[in-house]
Amino acid sequence: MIKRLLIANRGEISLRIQKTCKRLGIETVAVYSDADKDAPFVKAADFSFYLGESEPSKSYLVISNILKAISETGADAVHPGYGFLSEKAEFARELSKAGISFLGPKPETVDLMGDKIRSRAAMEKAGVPVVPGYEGESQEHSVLLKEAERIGFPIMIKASAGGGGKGMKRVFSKEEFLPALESAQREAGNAFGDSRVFLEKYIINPRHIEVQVFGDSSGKVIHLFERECSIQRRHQKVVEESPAPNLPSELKQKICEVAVKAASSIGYLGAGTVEFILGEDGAFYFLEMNTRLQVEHPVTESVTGFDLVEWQIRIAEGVGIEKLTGGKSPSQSGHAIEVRLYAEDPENEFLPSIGKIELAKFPEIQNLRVDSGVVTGSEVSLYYDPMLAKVIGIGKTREEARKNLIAGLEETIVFGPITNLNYLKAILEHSEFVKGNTDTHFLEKHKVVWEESGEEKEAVLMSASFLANRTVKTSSVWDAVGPNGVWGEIS
Amino acid sequence: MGRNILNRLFRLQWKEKEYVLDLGDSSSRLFGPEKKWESLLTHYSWSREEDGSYSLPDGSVALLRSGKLFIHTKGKTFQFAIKGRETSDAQTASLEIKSPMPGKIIKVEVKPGDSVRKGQTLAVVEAMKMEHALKAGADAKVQDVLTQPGDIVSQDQLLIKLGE
Repeated sequence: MIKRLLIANRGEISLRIQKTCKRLGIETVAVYSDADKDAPFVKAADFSFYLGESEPSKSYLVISNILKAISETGADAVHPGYGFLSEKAEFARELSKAGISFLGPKPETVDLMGDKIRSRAAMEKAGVPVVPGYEGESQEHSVLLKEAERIGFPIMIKASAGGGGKGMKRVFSKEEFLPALESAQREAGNAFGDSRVFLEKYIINPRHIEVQVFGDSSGKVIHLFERECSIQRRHQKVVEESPAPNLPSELKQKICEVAVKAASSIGYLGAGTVEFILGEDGAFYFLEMNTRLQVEHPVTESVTGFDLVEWQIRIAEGVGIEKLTGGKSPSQSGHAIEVRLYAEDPENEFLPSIGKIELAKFPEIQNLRVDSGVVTGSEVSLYYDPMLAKVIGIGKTREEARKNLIAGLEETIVFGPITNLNYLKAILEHSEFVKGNTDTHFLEKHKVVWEESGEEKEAVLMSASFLANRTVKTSSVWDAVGPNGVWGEIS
Repeated sequence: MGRNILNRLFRLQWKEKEYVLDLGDSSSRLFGPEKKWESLLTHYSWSREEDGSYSLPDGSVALLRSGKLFIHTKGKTFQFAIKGRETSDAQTASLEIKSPMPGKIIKVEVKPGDSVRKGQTLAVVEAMKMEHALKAGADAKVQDVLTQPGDIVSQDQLLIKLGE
């Protein structure tokens, strides 16, 4: 039995894990850097341990420091959260050497799934579809054409030494192939001094569908259904939901079964996510497997009713899946949509916005879950991911969940750094989102307007002015001249 | 009286645009950047919360802090920079060029002894990848340059002094 759990992470996910531990009567240990010494997640834990300087490479990523924290606080298990050391096999190995329980899969699994080529090969061997392609040695035009026909059009020609879109060509038919190939090879040669290319099936309007899986120590693997995570900016997810909208039930079942097959084939232990790319034609392919808890796990918790952190803890203690599900097969009921509230500026290429949070208010309303890591006074620093909170709307139907989430966002207040709050709300209100027409190009394809209307602008300016007026009039420094004039409250 | 009127002009900056607020005893006016736009203020009632924020009966929340005015209304968040007031005292302010935000000096375009015209860019400060031009507040002569490119400066740090 786990008695004292060290959480090798920070912020929102540390608080999330602590919540389950408190319910289960497990003591928690928080670890922190200079930047986090006053953070809510440190104060909330039963014990805390200082790791080092603010840069992750000097604190959260230093395995020896975490091991020191474990031995000095007497923790008997470690939850890595996500990011940082969660997918470092070396960390899992060191813990197992020290006899500490790691809430994650076996180190060999972490290694295997962290290697794109090896994991792809393992999946192919297990009969899991991977994106068809050709990465062979031969650069003969006739060979490449034959391979292209085998893969099936449309295909993508990519430079082996590539990057930045150079030497990349989309080809829709056999007739276009040779000219495009010559041009791609020429471009690649000029740009990288290496004209070699490889081929990959091009998937039109792809969706990102992932499946939550769990494996126990007896080798049993089950799935807890799918999540749709297509809406992304800069390849990072911003909106996630379960169930995936407009996904035929037969296809859903097939994807979930393939995910279980993928995880079973490698003897998966604990929580994992199998990510797929789904084409318009209903064909889907393995992308990668994440060997940890995902940021978007709350949507799965909402529709299945299970606490995934509790499952991780129980599985590490040797409890079987049969017992966790109570012998019944899990069901998916209702709908949940999650958005990630980031300190970033949608009007400035989503660049992170740092600074002190002058005011943070998160709503406590029905059918809304907020997992946040910040409070009024918290500093958003450049050292870490700028995610401030996850807001999850829950409902009997998708539309209900969407409306609840919007209502929640309307009561979410973060003053200080610029946030993507207005932008998130605009995505949820977009007509294509309402219809559930999501794919990974959603944000590029659709103009998501979060600009205020003329009326809103006027109303806000009026409020601003009135407040300024009132503040000035009630201020005793009406005639005083400071660096900021009479704005006595501004410091 | 003349000075009093000047005392009541404030500038709010929103999305690179400046709005001028003219505060009166019984009513106030707000001017948009094109000067064509003008609004008469209505009566609002704000209540002050324990955390220092203000609440409107319609659920809006506002906060004045760190040289900024934040307003959350109808599910949207707005942020204004407060540029202080335009007064006769602004004469002094216009001769002391201070950094409006913590950041890095990326350009200094003048040296002591240069004559500058009102509105001329004297230096550029950058923070969080945003550039901000510091302009002369009046026709003047550069008296002192207290910064150089590459300097990390704090908010309100004096960078350039102008004189007659």
